Amino acid sequence: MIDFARVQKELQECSREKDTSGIKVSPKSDNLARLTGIIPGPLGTPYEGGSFEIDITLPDGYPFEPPKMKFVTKVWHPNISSQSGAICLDILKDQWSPALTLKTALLSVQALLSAPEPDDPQDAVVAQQYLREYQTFVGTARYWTESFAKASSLGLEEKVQRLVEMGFAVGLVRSTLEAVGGDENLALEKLLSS
Amino acid sequence: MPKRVLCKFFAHGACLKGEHCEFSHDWKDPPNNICTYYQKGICSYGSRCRYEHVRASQSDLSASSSSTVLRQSLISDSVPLGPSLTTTFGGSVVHPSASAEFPGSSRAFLPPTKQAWNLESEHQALSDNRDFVEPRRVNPAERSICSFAAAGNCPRGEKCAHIHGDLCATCGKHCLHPFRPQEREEHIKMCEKKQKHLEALKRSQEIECSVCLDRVLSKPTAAERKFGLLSECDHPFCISCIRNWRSSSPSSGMDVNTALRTCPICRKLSYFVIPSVIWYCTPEEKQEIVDSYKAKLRSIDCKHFNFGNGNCPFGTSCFYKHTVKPGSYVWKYHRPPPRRFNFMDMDAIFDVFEQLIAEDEMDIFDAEDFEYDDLTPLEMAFLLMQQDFESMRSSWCFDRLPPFLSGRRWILEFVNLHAYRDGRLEEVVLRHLGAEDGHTIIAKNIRLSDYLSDLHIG
Repeated sequence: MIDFARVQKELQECSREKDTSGIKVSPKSDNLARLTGIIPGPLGTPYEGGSFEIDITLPDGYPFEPPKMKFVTKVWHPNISSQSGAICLDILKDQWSPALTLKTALLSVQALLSAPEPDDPQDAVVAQQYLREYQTFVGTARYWTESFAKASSLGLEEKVQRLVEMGFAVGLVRSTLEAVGGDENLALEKLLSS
Repeated sequence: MPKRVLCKFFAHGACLKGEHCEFSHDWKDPPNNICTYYQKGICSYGSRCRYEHVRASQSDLSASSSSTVLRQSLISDSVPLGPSLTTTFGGSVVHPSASAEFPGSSRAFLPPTKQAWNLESEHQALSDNRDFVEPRRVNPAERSICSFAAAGNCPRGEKCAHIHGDLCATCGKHCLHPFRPQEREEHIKMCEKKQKHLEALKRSQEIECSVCLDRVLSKPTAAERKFGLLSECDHPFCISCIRNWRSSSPSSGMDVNTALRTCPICRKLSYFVIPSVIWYCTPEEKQEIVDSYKAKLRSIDCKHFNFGNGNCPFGTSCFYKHTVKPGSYVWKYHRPPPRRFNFMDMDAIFDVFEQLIAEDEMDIFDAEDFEYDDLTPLEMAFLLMQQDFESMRSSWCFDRLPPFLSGRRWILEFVNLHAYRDGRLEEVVLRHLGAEDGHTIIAKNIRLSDYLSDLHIG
């Protein structure tokens, strides 16, 4: 049986420290077994500025069994499936400890974003790219953050539109935007210099 | 000396007071044969009573009820006391010497029983006996201390017939007997211990379990209001949470040795959990808790050993008591009986085997440090395998077998186990469950992994 008293306490703690940690957890419905977590992309990484939504399901044995977590927001990361959002993190599997909380688990996921482990990949394609073409990886990750993890990512199409109107080909505009991580001015410079 | 009446309890060989008893422990002294119930007016035997029915006011002091003699031997010369009054209180908790000071108000303390004789004579008796009490000098060590003073306040103050005890600095009561040094010391020791316990309890109130995030001592049921101390680190948990965690099934994906047996916070491997109602501050306090826990376990008979009829996987390092009963297996053969486990899932056994062999971790179990409750039979078996006992035998009983042996119930026995680190076993024996003797040795001096890989379980 899930220890709901503990889940309640965890939620209270999360909302208290929301401003310092930036991590938010909220129940999806009245049932506390299904929750949604939001973590900000760590500074100094391609994920900076993004806010990532994570789907959390508490198993019956919680807190003696790890919560099931997966990314809802699409992420380009060696340890996170670009297709399903599945997370490869030991503390969510065999290294779980009941002293960990939803907040600390989410913090660990956040730490995983800033320190990928390409040797133990979840997504082989991303891991390959990370190891072989690091710059491309950074560009793609930034583009994905820009496209999927930002409230302003809606504006992406507008940027494409504007650049296309300046006379560049749609395909080229998209790939350039992706390479520079969605920054319109940088993309323009790059397009002009090429 | 006041000890003139034979102690009733002593006469039955059951006096617990020993040399401090107010009554005589000398067979030459006459026993007291007066019915105290009659004196209280409630003897239901009437004329058939085998004790003497004597009205208290008529009775001679020396032949009066035992409690009268007791009180009189204790009171000092300045306090007059009538036997009737005393007998009224005989056996009750109210101290007669305290109430005798106020004869007028003493009525209020009278138990609501009707006297066998009329109440008038009571007052009569009281005044009659005013001068009756003869002064006695008693050895101060034999006088008891005033319970009123010990409880906080004696209404007689300076004039009290009893010794007023010295103040105990710890509990703040006047309960130290000035002339019984041994009793004093005992009391001070007890008191300090109690005080320490109370303080620790107070401190422990605030401690939260890191798993359920509740205050351990504020849990709803008494069984839950206990800490589970880990042997190797100092992180607090409640006993149910830590036991729950440690007994989580390894099938849930958690690793036994890197997760389940470790502290949830610092991940230090601890071999056993110690229940305790208080939390500790110093290593010495922790050691004390651990020691007293182990001492308690040592007084309990080991259920695995079963007085010599069972096989305890912990052998001589077991925390529990191993008592060999005459006629038991160990008593007869000087070795533990063979082990059997029924209803085991063979796949699980072999999985663990292979995993262990693959990881070359045959020494993961440390026999000395496990508490059985944490162990599954399987783990015990491994523990066994690891021990280098020449005569140790281990066996599993199973229904599902390799095809070439299928259809019957067999026992897989690991005989003469030398737990070689490479997983080699000296002898593996399969035998039919029905046959006590006549082993079929199917493998000898083999590597366990080779043997198991040859077994095709289907």
